[in-house]
Amino acid sequence: MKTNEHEIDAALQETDAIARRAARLDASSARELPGNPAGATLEDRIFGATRDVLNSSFPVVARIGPGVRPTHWGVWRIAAAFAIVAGLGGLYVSLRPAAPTTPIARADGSKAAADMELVLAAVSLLDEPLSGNFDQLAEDAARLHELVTSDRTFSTEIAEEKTRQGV
Amino acid sequence: MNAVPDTPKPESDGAELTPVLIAASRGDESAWRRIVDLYARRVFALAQARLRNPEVAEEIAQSVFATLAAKLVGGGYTERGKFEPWLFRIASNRIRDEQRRNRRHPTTHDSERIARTEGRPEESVLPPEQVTRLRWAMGQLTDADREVIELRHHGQMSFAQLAEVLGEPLGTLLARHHRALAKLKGLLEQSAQPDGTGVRAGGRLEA
Repeated sequence: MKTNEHEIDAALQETDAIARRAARLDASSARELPGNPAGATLEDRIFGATRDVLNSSFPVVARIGPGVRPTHWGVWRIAAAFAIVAGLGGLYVSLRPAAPTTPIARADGSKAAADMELVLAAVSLLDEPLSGNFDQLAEDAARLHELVTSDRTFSTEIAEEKTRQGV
Repeated sequence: MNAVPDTPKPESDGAELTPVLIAASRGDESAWRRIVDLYARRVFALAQARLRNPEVAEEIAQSVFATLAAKLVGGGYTERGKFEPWLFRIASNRIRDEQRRNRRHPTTHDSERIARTEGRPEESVLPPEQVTRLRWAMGQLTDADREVIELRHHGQMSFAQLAEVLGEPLGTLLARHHRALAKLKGLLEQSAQPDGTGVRAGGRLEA
């Protein structure tokens, strides 16, 4: 052991020795499994489990150990959940109705009032030349109705008209 | 049973290991076996010190060596001459990941593990009570202090290598190691006092 390159304080040497013996104890606690097909000693098992990696054209980073434990599946599950949420979000954004590109004109109170005044002015302008002839129009309509519904002939009608005019 | 690691250590940072690493990276199984024999138990011991679960510690060690093999074959090992710091950096990171997982899903009771391993012949190097006290004392250290002690003894690393792994200047690391060891000594003395702060049933101690 390369531990004598720097001297340990004499007062601490005993503690250091205890720690060293504890290290031996830990090293010796590897399981001895005679008859185990994977190997009887720690070295046999590690060699057996890793020799294929050495001959692999496509190196495997880790074949056994903590890398395949359920904890890591938990991480994958979280990542998958994030991916699903992100995917659904993207789908929603791509499928939602398009927002209007031009703003809808908002009702303008003062402009509406001005328009209304313009309409009323136009109506009154049209109404004015007609208003004085309503009676004449009504009279003509009555005469036309009478003419259509009576059995008098057209010549009679002309004669009557001439008489009325004193011709 | 394999020898407990006082096994001779190679000059792993020197040129001696380089041909072995090159051969392994070309798919030489005997070279790879040598690397596994040299380092598997040290990586395992480091994981076992932290996790107190031999099955999980072995899984970690296997996973570290799988990564190592993949990096060697795939050309991912570029730190020539610094193999051990590189290896133990991978191991430390893997162990930290496992510890984080354990904090979220605790499954192992240290006292059970200690009880299970007590009585093995090779463990007579330390009396069980002392083992329990040491575990408790190590548990009281900060992660940083504990890491220095464990990397040094379980990883069998030199201070220079430790400085590489932890990314600290050598002087800072030596001071930190001294401080951590002094804390450990104080905690061990505290746990050995006969006034009620000694070992409790189940390996738990009162601070």
